Amino acid sequence: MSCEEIRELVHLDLDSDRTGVSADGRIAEHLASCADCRTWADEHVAIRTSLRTLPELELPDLALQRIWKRTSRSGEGRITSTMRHRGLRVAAAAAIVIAGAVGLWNWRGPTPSAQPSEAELQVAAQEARVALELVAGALRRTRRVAVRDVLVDEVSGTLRKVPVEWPESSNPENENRRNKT
Amino acid sequence: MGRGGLSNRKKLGHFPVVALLRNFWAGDSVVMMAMQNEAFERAVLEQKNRVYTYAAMLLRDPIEAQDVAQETMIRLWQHKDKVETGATRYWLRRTAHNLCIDRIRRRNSRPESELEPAEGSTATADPDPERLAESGELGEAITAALAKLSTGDRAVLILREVQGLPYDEIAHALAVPLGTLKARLHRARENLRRRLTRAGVTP
Repeated sequence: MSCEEIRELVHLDLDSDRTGVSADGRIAEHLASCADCRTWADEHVAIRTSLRTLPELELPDLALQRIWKRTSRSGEGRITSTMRHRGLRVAAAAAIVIAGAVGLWNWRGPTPSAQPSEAELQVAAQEARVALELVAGALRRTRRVAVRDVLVDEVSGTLRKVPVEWPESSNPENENRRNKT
Repeated sequence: MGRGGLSNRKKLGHFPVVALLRNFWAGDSVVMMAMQNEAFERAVLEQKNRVYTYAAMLLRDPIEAQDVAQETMIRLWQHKDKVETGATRYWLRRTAHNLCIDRIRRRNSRPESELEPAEGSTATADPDPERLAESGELGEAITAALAKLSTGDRAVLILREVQGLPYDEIAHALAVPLGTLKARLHRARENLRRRLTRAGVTP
């Protein structure tokens, strides 16, 4: 085989991550008799070994902090547009659930004869619990800003617009007043 | 049960709007978001040094390399919904490479008078391989010789020989077929050897 052909085989040897270049019998035979190719092959093996031992650089902490600041930890201590959007979504969800519960209550029980059944009370309690969970979720996720932006501004503001009318019979004061008269 | 009553079927959990809200908010979206954040942060921590090393060796400028590493990770964050977990490494490698190439092109298109090195930059202060070889610093001599190769030769040698990446990952990063990649690698190895030999470095 010619020197060119042998050198091509040596490259293929290097490609396949072999540590030496004499595994192939044809290569070994040629290198034993050709000093130029032997030197050439030894140089390639040595260069590759040196390249493999070059140290990996470490990204400076400041650069890493910049990455966190602009990505997954961008919301720490402040509200972002995404979080504000999320807060509004929670507020809307809570308002819908509570308004639905109140509306259902009014529709089902406007007269003294329509006392809320146990099932209705359970449903109402469940709805209230879910609403509170949603608000608590907002608090957990948006931390202190949730109190101001979500609870005070959004949820309370929305709830103030919901007409809450308890059934007359379910109000203990009304009940007492009726009994007195 | 009278008019005011509710059957079990209509309990809260079965109301479509409540179920939707509960699943959407308290369930799926939050869990998914947390998983995405966790996967992203893991990918950053695992790959940041590799991406930075590649950019630093290709650009020969640590400040620009930091910018590339940051930009690469921020782009991953922006595209995290589209990048499959198993393909993150490939995606990072290709993005980092493309960002480096953009910077090199911009650098080459500027007139020489504008090519002032940034503070802390080593872009124009590559050590001379011959001098390093004389002082016996083989590793640094090789780094210096590597820095003087063409961008294409340097890229393939860094990815394959320095970072030891598999061929398919390199081919994806450089957007070349496997055959072309191997031919480039042979040429790059030979160019580096010649340069070191000319510099009197005898590994």
